[in-house]
Amino acid sequence: MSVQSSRYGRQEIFYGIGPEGQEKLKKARVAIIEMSAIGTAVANNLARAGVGFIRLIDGDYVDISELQRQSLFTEEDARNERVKAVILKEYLGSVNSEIEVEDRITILDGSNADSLLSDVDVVVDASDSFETRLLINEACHALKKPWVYGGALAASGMVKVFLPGEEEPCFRCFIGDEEFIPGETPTCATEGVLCSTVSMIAALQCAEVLKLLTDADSVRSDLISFDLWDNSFDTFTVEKDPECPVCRGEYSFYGKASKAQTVSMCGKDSMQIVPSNEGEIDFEKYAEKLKNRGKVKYTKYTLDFDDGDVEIKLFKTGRAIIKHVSDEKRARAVYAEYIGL
Amino acid sequence: MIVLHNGEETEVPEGTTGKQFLQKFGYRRAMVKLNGEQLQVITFSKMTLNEGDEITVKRISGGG
Repeated sequence: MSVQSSRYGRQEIFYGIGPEGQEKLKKARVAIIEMSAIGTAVANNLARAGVGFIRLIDGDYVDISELQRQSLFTEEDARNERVKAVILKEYLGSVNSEIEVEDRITILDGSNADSLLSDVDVVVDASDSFETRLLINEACHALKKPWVYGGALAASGMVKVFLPGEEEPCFRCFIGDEEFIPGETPTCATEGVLCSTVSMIAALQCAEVLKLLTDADSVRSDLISFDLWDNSFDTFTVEKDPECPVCRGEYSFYGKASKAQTVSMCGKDSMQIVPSNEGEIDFEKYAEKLKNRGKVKYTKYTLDFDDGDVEIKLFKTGRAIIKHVSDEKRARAVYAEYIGL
Repeated sequence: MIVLHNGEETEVPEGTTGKQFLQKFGYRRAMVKLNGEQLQVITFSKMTLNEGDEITVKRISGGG
């Protein structure tokens, strides 16, 4: 088969990759954190490019409000509230059966970061919170992994590669401190976001990932910033902070035992409860326990409960999403009553 | 006086400092350029703005 007609022919004749680079991609391992709008686009791009192993890390399900920007999901996925990582594993497997795609239905935290990130070559940030990025930053600093930050807001975005190495600035150097005041930073839920914005970010991130995986010497050192609505495109230098605790190996998130958390879910009018000790939930047992109190149905991945007032989506690890609740105490009370804390 | 804020003409009082400018527009975590030169926020904050200054400020994006 000629290069022109082979699967990766257009990459193999591209001077930056070539057959040697393609072989490196085949052996490469990448983890993508969160199957968000950016994450789905990145996963699609890297699977088609022939990256040999892709780990999809996400604990969420598809909602109709996400179809505007999360390009690989369908209305049927939203109607059935299907688990994102599972859908993408299936889809990407049909796009490229030559690669391995692994779905990890979980949320990255300080205690599982090692098992999720230590065996990959590059980590891609597609998260929507600064706290998750601070954790990625610490984990990648400790594990000496390069990672690619991508952040979106409305029509604007930023991309920056953070490399391991004593002379390199890290994400903590970049944002200054980790004390985020609730509401201090605008979010996509308050400012909106365009599909074009996240596609642009994903494209920029993927180009950097391909460079990293093929040992290109053109990996960007600066931060790219753009706004598709005001037509601006800019670059900034991120300087190393001599006082940065992460650069000294002092971590706030990485390696810490996970604590029980109750967090609001961006754009979903729901609260998520992550118990401190995640285990393996026996759905059959829970379905039996809950069936007299409301409608129960379960799959291999999730159990749904609805009694007309309370609506819960329970995951195998014990994590649960309490729907139509915005109050933390109420969410915890529901969890305690129906699932048990 | 008039300055250019991300390309748009914007009126600010004479003697406005960088800090006052960032506060006026609600910037906290941001990258700043003044007349094309990137500055640390702390450095920009201490400066006094002049008529016609071109100020580019980009918020650090957090969405995904």
